[in-house]
Amino acid sequence: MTKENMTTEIEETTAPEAAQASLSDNARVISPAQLVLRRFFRSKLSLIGLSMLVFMFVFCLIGPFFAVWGEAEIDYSSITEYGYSQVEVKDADGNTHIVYQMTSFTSSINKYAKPFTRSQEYTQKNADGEIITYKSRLHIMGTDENGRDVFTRLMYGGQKSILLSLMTVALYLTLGILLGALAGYVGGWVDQIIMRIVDVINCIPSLPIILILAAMLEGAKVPQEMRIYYLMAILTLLSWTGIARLVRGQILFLREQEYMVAADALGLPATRKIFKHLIPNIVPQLIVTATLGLGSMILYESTLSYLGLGFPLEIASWGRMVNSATTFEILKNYPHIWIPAGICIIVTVLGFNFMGDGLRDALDPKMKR
Amino acid sequence: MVKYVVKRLLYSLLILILASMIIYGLVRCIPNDYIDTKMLPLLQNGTASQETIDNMKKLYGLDDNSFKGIAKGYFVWLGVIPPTDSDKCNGVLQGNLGDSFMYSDSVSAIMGRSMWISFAIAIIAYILVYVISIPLGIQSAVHQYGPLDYGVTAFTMVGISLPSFFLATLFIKFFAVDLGWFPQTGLESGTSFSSGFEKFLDQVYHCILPMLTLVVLSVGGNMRHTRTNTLEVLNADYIRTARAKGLSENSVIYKHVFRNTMIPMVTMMAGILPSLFGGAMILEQVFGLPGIGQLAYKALTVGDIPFIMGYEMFLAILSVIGTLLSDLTYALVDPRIKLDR
Repeated sequence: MTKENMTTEIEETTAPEAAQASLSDNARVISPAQLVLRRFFRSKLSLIGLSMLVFMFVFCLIGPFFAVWGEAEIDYSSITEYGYSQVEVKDADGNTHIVYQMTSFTSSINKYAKPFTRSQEYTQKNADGEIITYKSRLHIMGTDENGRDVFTRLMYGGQKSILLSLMTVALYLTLGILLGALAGYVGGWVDQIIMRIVDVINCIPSLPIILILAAMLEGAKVPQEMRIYYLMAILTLLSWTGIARLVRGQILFLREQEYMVAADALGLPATRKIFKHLIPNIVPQLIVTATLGLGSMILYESTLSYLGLGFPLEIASWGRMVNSATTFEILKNYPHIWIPAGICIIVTVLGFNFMGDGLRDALDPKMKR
Repeated sequence: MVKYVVKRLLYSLLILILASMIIYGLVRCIPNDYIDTKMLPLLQNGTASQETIDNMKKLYGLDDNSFKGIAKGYFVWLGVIPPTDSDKCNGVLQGNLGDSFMYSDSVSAIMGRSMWISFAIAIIAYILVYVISIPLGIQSAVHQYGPLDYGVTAFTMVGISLPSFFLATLFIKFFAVDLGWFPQTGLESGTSFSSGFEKFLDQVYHCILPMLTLVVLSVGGNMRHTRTNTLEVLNADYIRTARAKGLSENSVIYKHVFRNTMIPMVTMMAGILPSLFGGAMILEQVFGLPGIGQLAYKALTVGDIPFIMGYEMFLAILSVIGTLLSDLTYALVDPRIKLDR
């Protein structure tokens, strides 16, 4: 830079009021949140992730209100199967007639229906003995091996999966933040104990342990509607360690920062220092970890239900729908029963992962793009 | 260095003992134990009486489910106190993992036999994973935000979002059932073979699909790691220096960047130890491979306590060793790291 240039620059910065006014007119003030949002929406992948999630949330959480079939409702309209045999009959005049004699009559349910077929109108006695007529309804994705509507079960399965993972992540975030903050802030023997627990839990292989615990639920005859809460507790107890480590590490680092020295000097109470000055600084990382955690929770849940643990049988779940492909007949001939469920899992998990990645990039102050 | 390793090992031992206590306690708390599940039909049709069952439970050491009983069972398993029928300690500390309930053989023998199938599949799969993921990861980092990078990132994401059981089922459906290229499940065709080599080839043929699944499942995560590491290295000062010296781009990327990218990757390799030997429980289940993962899954479902304990501790030890090894290799490949805590 030449000397001439420098002087002109200095002249500009120390310019008269007119120049300053024009500068403030041109510059826009952007808050950090706006900056993050702008970076987030600039990335194509995070937009794709967001739209995937919006789609799945609408489908699974709002969809069931508009479903024409019930979650475990069986389509009884059906294909009546007749078994018959040919019988030769001689009449009084001695002529032989060939007669079809009906030997069996089975009214089966409308199972393995193809996508975009309609059920027939049928009547059924309900529990009170009243006869109810069921109108013809559309099976968008056909029916499964038990005559239940696949499309509706997809919605209900997703609803449970998403709610379970949201609640679990919220729980283990809370637990992880509390224990991590305690370990990092208090230090000493509290830190020792908490971190040793973290080490032990990390050392235990998680899938086998979840299987053991789920088998315990199975055997302990836990009421079906309570299953989801127990499952949540199990997953929470095994997943909080990552968060605790993150929070502890960050707090150990932040504690040495100047503003914390200032907070000490001001004599602020510990809770205020932790929750007002330390935790908010970790929030970006926590958001990212939680978003990615939501995806892995969905995977865990679907794996459990694939293995037949987790939710009881008649309750829909994506994992169990994929599991129906263990029957060779379904694997080979009826992909509409199990492939959509797998795709739903992928789309949801992918959505969370794209979002988490996009958020990580957007929240990283070092990123310039 | 030696002091560090010894300290770490002692500490790991403490963690392992705590973990084994928790696992043993949990396994013993499964409401239907092995004898209950096995004897229920016999009890129902009257061939076995409740008394026989109680005797059997005593024999298996499952009779006392109070806290004291479970604690005693644990210490017998560990080899600190002798079992009731003998006065000699015979447990883990004596190098005996006990006998499996359902496979009626010693746990270590069964694990030793079934481990190699899982290991063979995993080692080849991991070699493929590294061969595919490292070049792609580096390329995508070098051409950040280019079409290749977007492609790799998208593929990576799909890879880490795939549920293993679904991918395995899809592969079976398309490659085995529809196209008929590979056998669906199992390790051997039912036919007899003229030579051992043919039998071996048949087994390899059965392992291709599981291997492929494993590769697709793990390639994404590795690619992502490589990409992130490379990006970090690319921003380092010494890379700017290398460029400022006027080195060719190839020499910058393949000498300076690549080598430094490998530091975290090498340490990660030690971390895959448990997945190398421990088997993929769900994949083996779906493909019906008699590897250690599937045996463990079956043992878990029936409550075969010695096998579950053996398997879990095997995994836990592997993961502890894996972490230690990765820390040590870190110090080995990166001279900036010093282990003297």
